[in-house]
Amino acid sequence: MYVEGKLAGPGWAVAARRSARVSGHGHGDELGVGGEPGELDAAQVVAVLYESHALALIRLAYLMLGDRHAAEDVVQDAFSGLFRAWHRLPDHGNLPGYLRASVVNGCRSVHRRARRVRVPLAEPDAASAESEALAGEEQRATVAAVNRLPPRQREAIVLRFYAGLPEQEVARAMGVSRGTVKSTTARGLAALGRILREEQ
Amino acid sequence: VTRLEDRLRRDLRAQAEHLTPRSVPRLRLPGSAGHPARTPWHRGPRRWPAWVTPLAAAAAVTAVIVGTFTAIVAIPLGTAAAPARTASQVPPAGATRYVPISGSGTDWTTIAISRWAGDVRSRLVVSYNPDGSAAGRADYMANRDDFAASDPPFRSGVDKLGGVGPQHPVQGYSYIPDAAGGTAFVYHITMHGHRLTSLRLSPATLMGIFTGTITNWDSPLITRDNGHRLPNLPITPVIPSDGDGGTYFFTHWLAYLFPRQWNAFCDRVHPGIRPPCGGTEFYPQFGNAKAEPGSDNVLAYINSTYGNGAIGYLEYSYALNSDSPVVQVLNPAGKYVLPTSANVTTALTRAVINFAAHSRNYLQQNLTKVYTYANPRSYPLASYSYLIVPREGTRLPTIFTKAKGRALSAFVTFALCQGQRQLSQLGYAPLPSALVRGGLQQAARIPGHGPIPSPAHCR
Repeated sequence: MYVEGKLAGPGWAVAARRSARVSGHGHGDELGVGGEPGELDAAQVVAVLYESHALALIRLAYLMLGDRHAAEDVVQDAFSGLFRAWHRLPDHGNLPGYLRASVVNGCRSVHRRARRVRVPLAEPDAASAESEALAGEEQRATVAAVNRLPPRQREAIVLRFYAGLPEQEVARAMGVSRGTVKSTTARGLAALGRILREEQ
Repeated sequence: VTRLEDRLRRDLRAQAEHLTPRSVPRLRLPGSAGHPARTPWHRGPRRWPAWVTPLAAAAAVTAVIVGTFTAIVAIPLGTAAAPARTASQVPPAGATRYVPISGSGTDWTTIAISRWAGDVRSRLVVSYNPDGSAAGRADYMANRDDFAASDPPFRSGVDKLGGVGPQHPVQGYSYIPDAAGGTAFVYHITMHGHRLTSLRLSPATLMGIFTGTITNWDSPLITRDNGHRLPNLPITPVIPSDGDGGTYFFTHWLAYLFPRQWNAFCDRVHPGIRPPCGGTEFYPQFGNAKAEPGSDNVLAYINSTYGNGAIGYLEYSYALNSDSPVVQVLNPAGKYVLPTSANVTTALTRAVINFAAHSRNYLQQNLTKVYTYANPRSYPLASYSYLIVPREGTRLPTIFTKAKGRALSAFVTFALCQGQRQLSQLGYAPLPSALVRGGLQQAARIPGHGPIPSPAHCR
């Protein structure tokens, strides 16, 4: 998957390098791609990361929350958090992984808040009537079934099958061990199978 | 279990793609409470309230745009986001040494222009609104643009199918070619659970499909092109709903190759139209055709789960960057070819360029010899795209200033020189040196322009 692949890969580093390249000075009036690499500040790197990763992360959060506005807020917060924590971060090597973990964490907070104030989470946004009709019964059933899973299982399922992450990365994003990811995913799949069978 | 996993992958992805790149809000960072840069986007969303594009489809290309091209100054991220989202933005990297400029126009070169805008962003902010060639030229004439991008020149005659007359801008202008490319046909046919990737079509079959005389993929004409029979599946032609450069190139080609049938088609969709009806920028609605706003939506429709049976046309870069299957088109040498950079470059060696420097249409193209070029490596639907920029000694767009001229000339120079190197990899083809030279001459006529390198120092 292209977007998810980007998330896992070093795409942001390339992006940041290019950005650094074009900010090189000493080119008179021409806009040259060349020159000495400039020093990137945190805001620039975060902006570059946002451009390349925001959509994938918002989609991820959307699948976990079922609400696009909440998903956008969670992702905004994750980037703001990265920006604020920039100088405290011990390691800038896996920023996409860091962001993903923040997003998972942010989604958990949304779930917690929703429970505390007893406001049910918004139903997944209904697309237009046309796309609903076209999207297909089966797809709706799948999404509804995933929404019914307990939060941890839902996280594991979405990270594993939507984002296409290896177990190790899922574990890092969820802040649990690899074994827990395995068992949570298996339980989630079993539950999904049950829910979908019941509906037929 | 494996079936369940596949189903999860497919359905979760389709659900996620309800959110399109255009719906991504701008980044707000703590402490960056500067003035939000006003861009032309604040005029409001151009096409639809982008919240829910009702396409579960991939919009893969747009995802590529967001994913790969770092600086998307040109793409209205979050155009339609609620007003609450217009919070402060991140200032462009480094010291901006030029004033910001804005333009609008063709979808065709959007991917290239976005890339260039990204590359220069640390010193120059270029906003680009891909609202289609026709709208881009209209924006220029209405003083809303510092520059426009358009595949066709300003209309000198009547576009009969579009029902619009000649354009007489009061502003002066120069045309500057910026990229070459091929108009590609993207399709979606699923056979035995697999997406077909080797479709071949002749011009006559394309004519039939896009004029409503061939309506099913099992048609004998399609069978003949491919050597085997395709499934019984209705064809959904997907056309751009607004004035579009791809439409312009495609319909001029059809009208040139099949004048009689094209005139008959015109008469069918607009009874009473006087032949010859000629090419158009505005594809007429016909039969089973589905109109979508802009290339990314055309592509999204075709690649969606419900797009099985669809075919549409757009610049090759969109297809390449989304890994969409592209039709191999039969060329006059009897070969089925793809619009690759090499095949487009070969084809355009036959383009007749207006090199009369005093002409209003200096550097514009005549493609009829491209259509008929019998070279086995020529893709017949190849063309150049153009920037439209202000010209010294003529009336300027009222929003234009010399400072903007300096910025615009720097951007144009970048596009013509370093910018050309990236084109092949993006799905376009670089300009030949004569057009680069001509383009640089035109750049030197932009009021307030900065230093313009000689062609020799350009690459």
